[in-house]
Amino acid sequence: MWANKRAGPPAVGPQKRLVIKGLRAIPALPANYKTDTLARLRGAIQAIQLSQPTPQGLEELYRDCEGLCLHKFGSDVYAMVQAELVAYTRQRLDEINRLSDTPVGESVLQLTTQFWTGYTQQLDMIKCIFLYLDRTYVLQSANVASLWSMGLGVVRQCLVDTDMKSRLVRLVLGEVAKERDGKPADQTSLLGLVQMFVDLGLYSQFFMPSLIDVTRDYYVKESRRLVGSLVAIQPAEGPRPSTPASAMSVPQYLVHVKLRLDEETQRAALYLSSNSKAPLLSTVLAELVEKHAERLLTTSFDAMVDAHMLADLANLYTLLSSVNQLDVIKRYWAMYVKKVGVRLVQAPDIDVGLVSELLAMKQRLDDIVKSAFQSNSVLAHALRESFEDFINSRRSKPAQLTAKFVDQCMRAGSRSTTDEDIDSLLDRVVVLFRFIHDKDLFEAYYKRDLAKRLLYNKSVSVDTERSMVQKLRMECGPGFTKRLEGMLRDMDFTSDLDGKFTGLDQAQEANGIGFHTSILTQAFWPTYEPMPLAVPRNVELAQEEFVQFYSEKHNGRKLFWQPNLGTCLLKVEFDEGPKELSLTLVQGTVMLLFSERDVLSYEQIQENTGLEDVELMRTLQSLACGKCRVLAKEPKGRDVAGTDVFTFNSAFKSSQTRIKIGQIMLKEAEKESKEVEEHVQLDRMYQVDAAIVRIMKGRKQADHTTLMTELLSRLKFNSTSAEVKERIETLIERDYIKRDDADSSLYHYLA
Amino acid sequence: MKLTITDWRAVAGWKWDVPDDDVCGICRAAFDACCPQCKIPGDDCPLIWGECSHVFHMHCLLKWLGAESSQQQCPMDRRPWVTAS
Repeated sequence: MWANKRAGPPAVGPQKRLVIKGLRAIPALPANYKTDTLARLRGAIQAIQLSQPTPQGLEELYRDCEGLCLHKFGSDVYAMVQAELVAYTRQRLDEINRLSDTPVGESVLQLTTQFWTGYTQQLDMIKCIFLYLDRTYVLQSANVASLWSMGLGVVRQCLVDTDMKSRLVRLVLGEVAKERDGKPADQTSLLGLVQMFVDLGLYSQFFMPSLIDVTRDYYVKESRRLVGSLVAIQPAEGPRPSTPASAMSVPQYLVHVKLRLDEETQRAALYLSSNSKAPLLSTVLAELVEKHAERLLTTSFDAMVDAHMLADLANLYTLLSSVNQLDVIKRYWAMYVKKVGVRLVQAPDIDVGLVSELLAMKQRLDDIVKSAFQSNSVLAHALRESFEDFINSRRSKPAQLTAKFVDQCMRAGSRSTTDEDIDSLLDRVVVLFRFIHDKDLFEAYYKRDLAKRLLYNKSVSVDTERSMVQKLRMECGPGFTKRLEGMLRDMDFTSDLDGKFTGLDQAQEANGIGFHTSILTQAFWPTYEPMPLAVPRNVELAQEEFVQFYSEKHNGRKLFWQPNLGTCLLKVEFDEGPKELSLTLVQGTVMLLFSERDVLSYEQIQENTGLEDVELMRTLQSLACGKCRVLAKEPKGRDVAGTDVFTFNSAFKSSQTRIKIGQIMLKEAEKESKEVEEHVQLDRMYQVDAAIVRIMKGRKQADHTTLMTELLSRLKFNSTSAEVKERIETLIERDYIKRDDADSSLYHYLA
Repeated sequence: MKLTITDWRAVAGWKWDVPDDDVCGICRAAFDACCPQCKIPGDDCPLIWGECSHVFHMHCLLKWLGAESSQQQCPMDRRPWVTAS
């Protein structure tokens, strides 16, 4: 119903008209509106700056500012605020700046800090009141900074204009220096001021360069003073002598440097801006460590290593490696290793002890690399290189001694008892062996010793022998150990074969005397000079039985008895009672002659055994002139002559029932090592020959220098050019190569 | 007997049963040394005897017999090769 009514036409009546007319007069602001309002605001700012409550409420002030801005008086308001800030800042800073550096009351730094804290608080408040200004006028106009930045700019400008900036920096740095000298510093003011520099944007352009400069100066002086008066390392024991505080040893100095670094780190964390930590520390390091690296190492590096000062070496390493001076350490490290090593290796009267010393040295230095140098690969490599260098500074001797050392370890009854001990010891020896260039020489000696251990049954255990050979094989490849492995294999075959033989009926004679044989493949074993020896009849029979047995098993082989290698046990009836003598075969053969006759002359013995003079004399000496005299000699004496007469010494006495009489070895050992070396030398000659021919065959022609360089790079052992020249001469003689007719340094290959 | 042997440990080395310094007719290397393919003489590089009485490194001879031109003959006397038992 009412809907209809609404839709209906308006009530009938005279039409009314609404007319809008323009204002007659534009509403004017009160004449003093702007001035009054500005004055009110100015009063408020001044009240804030005096830390007094504002006469008007803050809301009211905000409205005032808003009003002014709405009436487009923004720029006036801005100018007024700026003027107020400038006036206030000028006045306060001038007051502070007028004070001397050491005022009676609060210091310039403290006052400045106070001013700054107050000022920022005030500025914050002012900013809030004039927020509308910031939001409108400042945003809409170009090149007008916000109130906050303007406020900071005012202070910055003021500081720059009045040169107070430099003064403040100087004072702050003075405070830092004070702290470095260990005096108390005003950390609160420092923190405040640094914060001020950061806020004002003065820190990185202005403050930091000065800070770094001053730091550098400070540490230049300090390091000059400390490094200049470095003293040698004092003995660790006993009270520290009262040296002046400035005189430090290198380790002390390093500790001091570390302390300084910690201090600077703390300082940076405490009141410097975080981005200054890195430049600060690098300045300290550069001045205290980098520039003096050489000096520090010259003064005490060797002594520190000698004294095994792990912690101090670790300090040295960390500091120097943090300034990239690793090369310097490396140089000194290598020098040290070589110096100590050469002293050991070049000593005139070195013996097997050398190897233990080298092992100890290696272990000590390894320990340093591991614990102090953080297993740095460069330094570890330098260690290895230097070892290789000095160990080869003397020819052949280290190789020989290392082989001998291994022999001592592997002999039954050696010092180290358990297998594990020996194993780890051998592992270390192998490391040493790795450095030695004369590996062929080592092999020759090792082979000789291994042969003795195996044949005389002196080895600690077969497993140890095998594991050592295995280690060498890992080191030098199967070619190197093939012979050694062959020797061990021969021993296996031998015991197998021996078992089969003694089980046979035909081995009657042999079993009667406990006859056993070791069969050696000649090619694996060291070559022994054949020795003529007429063995006792029953032994001869046993040997024949064995030969027959062997040739049935192995066609096409010939056996050579090697009487200089075997051993035997003899039961001998002395007056005191039966004794068992453990002898070499030669000694045994000589002794057995006395089973039928008591007295024999030298000539008779020689006739019956067929031994050569040298061997026979040696043997008789061991039986008649040694510790256990089972023969008596007439006339008495230390040496054996061709006219002597020997008698069975039935009165021989001993507390033991089994007696071992050693062969006299001394001369033998010397001769032996000479032999070994000659043998190796011969092998090397062939290798040189082969290498030369191979190179020349490839190149057809080469001049002397090229040939030498290539040759030396191919040969695995050290070779002098004189030796090589000699080989070239013989090759020319044998028509493998020839000299060029015109150019004598040029060689041609002859097909 | 006042002296009796209770234990006698002899040592013997073996070589190929060929005249000293004799060389293999194929490779001309000594029998005591090994054939050119091998590095270490001994069991690994044995000799082989023919019924014709000629001896060679086994490796050398097998290589020779493997070649067609050999016609399975002994390289020394051209008789058919028969290995001695």
